[in-house]
Amino acid sequence: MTMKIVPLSGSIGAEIQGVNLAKLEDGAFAGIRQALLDHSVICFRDQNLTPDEQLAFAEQWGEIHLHPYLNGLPERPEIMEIVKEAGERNRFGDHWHTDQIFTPSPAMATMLYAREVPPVGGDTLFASLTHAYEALSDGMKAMACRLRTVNQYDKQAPRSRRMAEKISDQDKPADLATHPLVRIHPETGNRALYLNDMRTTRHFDGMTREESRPLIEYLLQHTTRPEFTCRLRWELGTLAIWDNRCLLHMALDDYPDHRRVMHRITVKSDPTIGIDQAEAAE
Amino acid sequence: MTLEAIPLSGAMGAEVRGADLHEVDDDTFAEIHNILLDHGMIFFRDQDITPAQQLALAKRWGEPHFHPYMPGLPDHPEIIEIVKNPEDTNTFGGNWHTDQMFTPTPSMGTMLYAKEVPAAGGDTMFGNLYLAYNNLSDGMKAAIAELKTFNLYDKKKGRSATMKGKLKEPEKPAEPAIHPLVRPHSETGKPVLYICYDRITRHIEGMTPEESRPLLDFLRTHASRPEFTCRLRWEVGTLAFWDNRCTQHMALNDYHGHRRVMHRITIRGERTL
Repeated sequence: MTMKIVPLSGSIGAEIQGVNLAKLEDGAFAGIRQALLDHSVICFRDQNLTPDEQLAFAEQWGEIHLHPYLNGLPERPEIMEIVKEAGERNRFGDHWHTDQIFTPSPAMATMLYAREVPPVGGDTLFASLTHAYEALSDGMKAMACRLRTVNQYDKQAPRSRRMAEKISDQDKPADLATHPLVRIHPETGNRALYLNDMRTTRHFDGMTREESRPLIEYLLQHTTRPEFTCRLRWELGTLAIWDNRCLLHMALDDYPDHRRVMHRITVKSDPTIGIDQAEAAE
Repeated sequence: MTLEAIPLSGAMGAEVRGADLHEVDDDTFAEIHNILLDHGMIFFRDQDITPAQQLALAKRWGEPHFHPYMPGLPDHPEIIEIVKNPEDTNTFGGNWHTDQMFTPTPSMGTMLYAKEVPAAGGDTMFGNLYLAYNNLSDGMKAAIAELKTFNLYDKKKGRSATMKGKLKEPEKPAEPAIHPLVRPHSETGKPVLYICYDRITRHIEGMTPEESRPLLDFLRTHASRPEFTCRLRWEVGTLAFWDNRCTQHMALNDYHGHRRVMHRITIRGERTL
C-alpha cells in the first residue's frame, strides 16, 4: 500500500491516504512525520482504532502530555474524551488557540480521533502561525521578535457542565507561562508567531492588558486571515494530528442538536525557543 | 518684576500674571521660559500688543518658522492668520497634533494670540506628552523605544474654504518626515511620546499602515486621556505659547456660525533625529 498525500488547501493541511494506523508498516512513520512538518496538520480517514492502538500511534511522536487541569478517561488517563451532547453548547476550543500555551512546555502535537460525529457541522479550522509571521513587514517582525507573552489557563471560562466537571482544583489559580511571541520551530527552524486570544494570552511581558490588547488582537486577526487557513471536516474514524508549534485551531459550534465525541491525546514538547535563545545557542 | 504662575489643571498649563508683553527684558524672559518648561503651555490674559511686538516676543524663543504650505500676513509673513468664518464648517487644527510634525525640524513652540473670539466655544485643549510616556508600562516603553514614525502632511483633508484658499501648491506632494516615537526633550532631556493624529503620523517606519494602526491608535487614545490635558478658554487679548516638543493640542470646533481670528507664530525647532 503506498502512502498518498493530498493537500487540503493552498496553505496548510493534508489528507494522507493509503495508511492503516493500526498496522503501520516499517518505515512509514518517518514519512508521516515529514508530512506533518510539511503540512502542519494531517488527517487519516476511515481508521478503526482501539484506545490502546490510538495511544500506541501517539507514543511514536513523543511522550504523552497529561493536561494539567482536565482529567482523562479513568482507564486511559492519556486520552481525554471531548464530548458535546445534543442540546449542549460546545464551548471547548470554540475560539482560535494553540494547545497548552498556558504551560512552560506546551503540547508539540495534538491528536484527535472522531468517535461520534454529527451528520454535518463540528468542523475544525486551522491557521498557520508560520505563514502569518512571514507575511508581516520587517518592522513588525523586528518588534514582535523582542516581545514575550504571559499566558494563563482560564479556569473560569464558560464551559459545558460536562467539561467544567473535568477541571481539577477548580479554585486554585492556574500558573503563568511566558513564551516568546515569535518562536522557532525546533524541527524546521521556521519562525512562527505564537499566541492565543486574550483569554489565555493575558498580556505582553511587562505591559498592561490595555497596552497589549491592540497588538494581540491585530496579530490574531492577521493570523486567521482565510489565506492562512484550512478547514477539516470530520467523519467517523477520521484521525487528525496537528503541530501546535506553528498552528492555531478552533472547533466550530454549529451542530446544536447533535452529539460529538472525540478522543484527544497530546504529545509533549520541549520548552519554547525564541530568537534570543536561538542566537545565544549558535 | 515677579511673575506668578497659576496652574490651569493638574496635568499642565499655567496662566502667567504680572508680565508686560510690550517689552520683555532678559530676566523676565528667563522666568517666563522656566514657567513654560515646567508647565508645557503658558498664557497671558488681556494683552494689547501690535504684530511687531508679538513678533519681537516670539523671537525671544527663536527664529520664526515659515509654514511650508500656508502663507502668512502680507506685512508680517511670519504671522499666520487663522480664520474661521461663520460659514466655515471645518476647523484648522481640529485633531490632536503637535505643530509641524510633518517636517524633519518640527516647531519648537507656537504662539497664538486671540484677535476675535466667539462668545463661547473655540477653546484649545492641550495634552502633556511627558505624562503620556511616563504612564506607559516598562514593557511598552521597551517595545517602542527604538520605533520611528512616518509623518506626512495631508494636503487633501477637509479644510474650511478660508484656510483651503491659503494652501500653497495644493497639487505638489508633501515631503515625509521621520521622527523617533519616543523623543527626548532638547532642554529637559525627559522622554516624550511624540505622536500626531492619523492623517499626519501615518505608520511606524518599516511597518505597514495596517500593522501600525492598532498600536498607534492605542498610543493616541492613551496620550489624550483627560488626566493628561488642560483646556484653555480664549478671550480677546489672550496670548498663549506652548512647547511643541512635549505637548499636543487640538482646536475645538464647537462655535459654528461665529467668527474666530487668531494670529499664530511658530518657532523653529531642531531635527529630531
